Amino acid sequence: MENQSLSTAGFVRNYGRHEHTPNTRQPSKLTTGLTGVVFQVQMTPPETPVSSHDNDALLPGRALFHNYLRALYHFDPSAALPRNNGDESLLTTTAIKPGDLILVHSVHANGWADGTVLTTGERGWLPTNYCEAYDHPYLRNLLNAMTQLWDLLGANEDANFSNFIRQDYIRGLIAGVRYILEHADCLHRNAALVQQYTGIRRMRKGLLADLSSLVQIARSLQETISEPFAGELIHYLLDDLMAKAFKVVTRAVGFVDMWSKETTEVRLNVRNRDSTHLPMTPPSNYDDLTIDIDASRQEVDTDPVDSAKCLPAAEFEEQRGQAVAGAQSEARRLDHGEQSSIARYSKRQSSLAHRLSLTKAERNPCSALASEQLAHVHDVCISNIGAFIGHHLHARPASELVETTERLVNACEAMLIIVDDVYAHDVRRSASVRQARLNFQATLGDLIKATKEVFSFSDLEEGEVVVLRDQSDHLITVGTSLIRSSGECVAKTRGLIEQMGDFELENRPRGMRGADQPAIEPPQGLAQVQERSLRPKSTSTEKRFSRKTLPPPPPICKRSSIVTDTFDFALDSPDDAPVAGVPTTVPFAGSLASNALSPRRGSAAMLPEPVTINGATLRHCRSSRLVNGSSPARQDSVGISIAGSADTYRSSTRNSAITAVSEVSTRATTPEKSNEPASSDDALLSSFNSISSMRSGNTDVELDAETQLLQKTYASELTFSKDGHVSGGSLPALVEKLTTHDSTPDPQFVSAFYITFRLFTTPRELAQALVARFDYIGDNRAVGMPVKLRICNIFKGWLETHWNAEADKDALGEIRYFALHTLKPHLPSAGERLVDLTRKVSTVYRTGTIQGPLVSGVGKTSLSIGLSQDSSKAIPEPVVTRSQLQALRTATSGGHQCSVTELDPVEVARQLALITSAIFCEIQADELLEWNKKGTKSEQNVRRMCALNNDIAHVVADTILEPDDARKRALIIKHWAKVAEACLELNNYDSLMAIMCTLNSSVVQRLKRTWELVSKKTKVRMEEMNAVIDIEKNHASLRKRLESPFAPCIPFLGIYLTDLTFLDVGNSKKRDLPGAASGQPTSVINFDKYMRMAKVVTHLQNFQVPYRLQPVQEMQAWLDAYLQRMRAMQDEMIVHFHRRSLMVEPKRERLPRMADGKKSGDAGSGEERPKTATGKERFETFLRNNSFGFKVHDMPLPVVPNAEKHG
Amino acid sequence: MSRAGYQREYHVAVIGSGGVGKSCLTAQFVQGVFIESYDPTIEDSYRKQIEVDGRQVMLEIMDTAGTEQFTSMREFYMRDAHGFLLVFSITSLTSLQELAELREQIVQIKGGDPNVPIVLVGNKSDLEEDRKVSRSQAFKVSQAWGNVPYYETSARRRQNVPEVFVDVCRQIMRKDLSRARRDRGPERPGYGGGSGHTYSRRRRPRRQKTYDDDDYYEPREKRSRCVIL
Repeated sequence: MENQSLSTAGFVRNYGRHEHTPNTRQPSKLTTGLTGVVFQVQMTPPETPVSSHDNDALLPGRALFHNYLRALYHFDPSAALPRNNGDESLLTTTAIKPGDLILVHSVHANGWADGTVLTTGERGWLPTNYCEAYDHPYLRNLLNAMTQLWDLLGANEDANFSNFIRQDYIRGLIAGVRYILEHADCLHRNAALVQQYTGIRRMRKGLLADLSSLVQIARSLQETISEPFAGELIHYLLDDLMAKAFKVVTRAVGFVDMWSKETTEVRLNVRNRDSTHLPMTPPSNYDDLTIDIDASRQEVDTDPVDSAKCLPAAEFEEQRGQAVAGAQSEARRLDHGEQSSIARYSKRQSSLAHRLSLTKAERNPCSALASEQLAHVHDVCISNIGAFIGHHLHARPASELVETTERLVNACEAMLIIVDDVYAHDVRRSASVRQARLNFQATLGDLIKATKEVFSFSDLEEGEVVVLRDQSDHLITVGTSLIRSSGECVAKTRGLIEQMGDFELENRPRGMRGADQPAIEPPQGLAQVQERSLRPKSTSTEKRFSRKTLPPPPPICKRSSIVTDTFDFALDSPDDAPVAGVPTTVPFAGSLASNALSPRRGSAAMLPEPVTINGATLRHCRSSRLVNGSSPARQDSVGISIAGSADTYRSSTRNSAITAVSEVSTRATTPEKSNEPASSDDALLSSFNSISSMRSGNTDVELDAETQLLQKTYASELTFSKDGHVSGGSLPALVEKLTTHDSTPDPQFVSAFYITFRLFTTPRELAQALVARFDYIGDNRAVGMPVKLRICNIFKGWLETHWNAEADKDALGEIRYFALHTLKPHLPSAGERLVDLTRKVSTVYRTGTIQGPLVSGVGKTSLSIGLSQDSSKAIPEPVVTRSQLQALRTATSGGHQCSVTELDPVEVARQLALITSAIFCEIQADELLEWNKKGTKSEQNVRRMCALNNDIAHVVADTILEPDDARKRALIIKHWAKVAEACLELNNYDSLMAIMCTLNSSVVQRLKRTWELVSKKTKVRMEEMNAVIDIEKNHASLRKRLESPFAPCIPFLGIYLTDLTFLDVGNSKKRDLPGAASGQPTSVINFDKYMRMAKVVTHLQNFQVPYRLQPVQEMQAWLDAYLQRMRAMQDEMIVHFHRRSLMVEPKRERLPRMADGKKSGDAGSGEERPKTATGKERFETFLRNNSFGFKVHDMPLPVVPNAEKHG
Repeated sequence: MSRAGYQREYHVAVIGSGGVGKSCLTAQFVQGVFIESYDPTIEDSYRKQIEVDGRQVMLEIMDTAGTEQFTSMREFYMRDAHGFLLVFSITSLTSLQELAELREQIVQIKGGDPNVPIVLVGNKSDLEEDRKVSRSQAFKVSQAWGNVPYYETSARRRQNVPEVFVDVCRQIMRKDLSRARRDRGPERPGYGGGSGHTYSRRRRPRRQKTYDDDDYYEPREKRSRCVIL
């Protein structure tokens, strides 16, 4: 069962990785389809404990694969699983808490996911319907890096540790964190946001502390790995590392939550007003914000209506809900009708703030502007009224009613306070506001009165008050009118604000406090003061009345875990959960839904249908029944029996007393809000404090770490292959990799970069990128210096060994300028050296003395060093006799031709090797990379190699076909076979290939009489060599021989040219960043391609070592002359060989049989095919005309003169 | 050797002058769907199993891309191959003319067999505006070569790419079958061997065409396939 699910899951994962899109508006058709699956499938992972058909949040997550989920609800396998009599399910399922971030490994079709909870590090099955997909543009890089790290280390036991040594993966995490901070404008400690908000400051501090300890672990891991007996320790360290990485991610999520909480208002305000007094505003604009909210809110705004339709039973509630929604929408319409833009922004803001459970305006330290505060309190107010109304749609325990009412009153008071503030700001023009305010207050009074009546009728104990039907109807009516009047009031007030301009409310309380207060305070303190100063203002009698008359709310116990748990602080607190947010197109729905989805309190709330912007109308209300199914805790409230057990029920009932309050509210509310934020926030912050102070007791260390960690980096634009190599990256990212400060650059990477950079960038761009890197690294001692030195070295290496005078001349000016004006002031000696090098290079270019690297012997990588031939071996004496030399001299000078059989085959092979090697060793990397590009002339050595190969083949053919005597031909064949063998011995595969090609060519092979005279021994030998050069299976045998670098050796160039051609054609130039799929598609240089190409080039270069052989001038001259002769008439030679072959052993021998075949073939072709005068015909005509009485020796083989011409 | 017993493995040589996009064609065919990275240096880089007329066939593509200039190598490829894709670019008349010579060489190497499985491929059909070789021109050539099929492909757009390979494969299979029917007696040893000789270049026996191969082929049926997109 496990296997099956895993394999399915694997599929889902693979599929999902590619299909990962941010599109969250899943067609709701999917809902039913997938639900069907859920009901049918009965297998592990266990069936969803809740009927998931009514939880819209999980469905997109199932259709798409999300790497990360965020838990919305508690899930406790020990309690929740229906069939947990055995330990099995307990072992494989894992508990989640709201806010937990989960790295998903696979998702089973039934909705269970195999995931690791980052907060706890536990891995197991968990229900996806308890979670939502988590994605945030700021966090994307970090999450990607995390995924990569997991894939590298977490997934398999035998992870390749050696990759790890280069720290690339850790760097990815660092870059991810930096990306967040950068985009959050919190990169520097002195950034205004950081200064301004305690929460952000502490979160940031904690995040960095975690990050630096992660880096430390990574370092110690690196050190340990290199030790021989690391063994167990490594595994511990790896576990540590992974846990720490999890924590960094968790913390980053917390940071982003905190950040969006703290800054949303600021950002929005800046949009509303062109000029801002705030010193620091993120450059990112409103759109960014909506995106980020949208992303984090992915699934909330899926249309719940369709799922509602599947459950007709829900209709009743739905209708009622609609009534409420209608009322609410009216209020909203008022907002929108008047100042849609402000309203929209503030709505958005308020919804954000709302999820942060800032029920009271005074608790919100950052709502600086009146309009925002107003919107915020209104939002809270509306949601409370909604909860109130919702409450009465169901018969709920009175204690909940009391609580709801209390919160409602509190919220309304808070709103009144703001309205008063605004009103106080400008008394002259606010008559309408005043009226609206009074109406609102009156309605509130009505509501309180009505509520009171409910209780006054009851003589039972408080907890058992029964609300009568018409009573509750009345309450609903009152509530509805309260919504209306509050909307009106807010709209009027907003109009007022608009008229007189927005102002900062928080200044007022400060001002009221008097001048004795310090001008700048930490936000926290400010918040407290604000609270203090506002409290006395809340003089509303209703509040007191309600406090007095209404029974106290039930004890709220569930938040205690948050307070005690320091690690979970950020995630466990629903206040910080980014579950709320406003999708761009549905400004209200997001906040509504978010409340509904908030843990504990909201799950039972109604999920209203998303509202369209223009209408601001709530078309539908989600029935409570629907939502009920979304959490096991809700089972009791409606009588749907779901696939859950009594255990589930029990575990959830502790919350249900509270959550049920908001059962049918249009605006879900948080019962505990008003009581809790202070404690949870404080606990949160203090826990943070303790952690970060623990981590970084020493400020200097922290500072240093911080600057190190926060250096500008493009590491997020770098991708790695599974084996740990850089597989892609933008130019700056690659340059950065080239000049890392904390590890020596991977030599393979560096050489690949040097070799191939001209294929993906221009030399000038590279120079500029290096200079830019020099500029942005800064002057930091620990980081800046090593990087700057590396940059120098890169320039140096480029100029010294990889300079291509022609191609790189454009970059020279850039480099010289850099050396003179940037480098020299910093590092005088290095600058001087670089200037010197540029001078040399340009001199060389002008005079054209050296074509190639400045430093002799290396146009290649360091890898080839040490491969040079063992110098202790003596150079072998040439095997050549005096008479042979004489014969050769005679032949070369045009005298009697010398036959190859007169020469020692070993010596011929040696001289061939010398000739070939001379060309081979001159081949430059660029020639190989661009050899087939048209219009380049740099490939001359490659072409010479090809030509030489052909010439040798022709020489062999020529010598074999020369004698008329079959026996002589057989001897020559035997001789060449010996030469070939000697070539093999010398690792001269190029010449071996040439010789064997000829021996196998049809012109030679068809000489049956000759082959009859070739000894069996020779044939066996040839067969052996044929096996070596076999082209079968992509030259498998030859490749194997050339696998390990040894030198000197002349490989067969053709293979490598083919490889390079296909690497070029078969791999694209760009590749997408892995994270790009989920957002902006970013493509970077596909460095993998160039790495591979460079590998081929490097491989060849490894062989570029000259032979330690003594040249025999006479033999070389003779060979040269012969080769040149072949070159001169290479075109005719093929024809000549055919003719010659036919001449020495005419077809006539087998004429009787051949004639038949030939005849019919010819006849066929003659009849069927209209033959033009093809080459073949011309060839045959040519043969008929010339083949008789023609002697090879008389062939126009222009000997020496031509050789001179070509030499 | 019983042909029916083995999975058929055919060698197809992709031949044409440089710059006509041979390698593109091959890479597209072998790669099939997009893969993370293409490594041409491994054994299976140019192997692909396809189904032709309900039979599984393993194709080994022998692409001369990169070794065009090694003329001596060319014969190696040609002799080993069972079928040929003769590729030119529709944007270059020379590339078509150069094929004539190569085709002759093939026919020669295949013992003058005029029915060597060949497909004429006009690549770069996406560059219609740069077309230098008209369809009729190319078609005429294909007719002159014994009515070999002519396709126009675009390796870049993956048009007709598998088709050309399937076509040549089908030709090879047909030939293989008719030959098997006719084949009596033991398999002939490799090339170069008269009856008394055991010299064979190959470990794996393979039918080699040599110059004086006297096999008789039925004249191929009239074909007039011309797929032009």
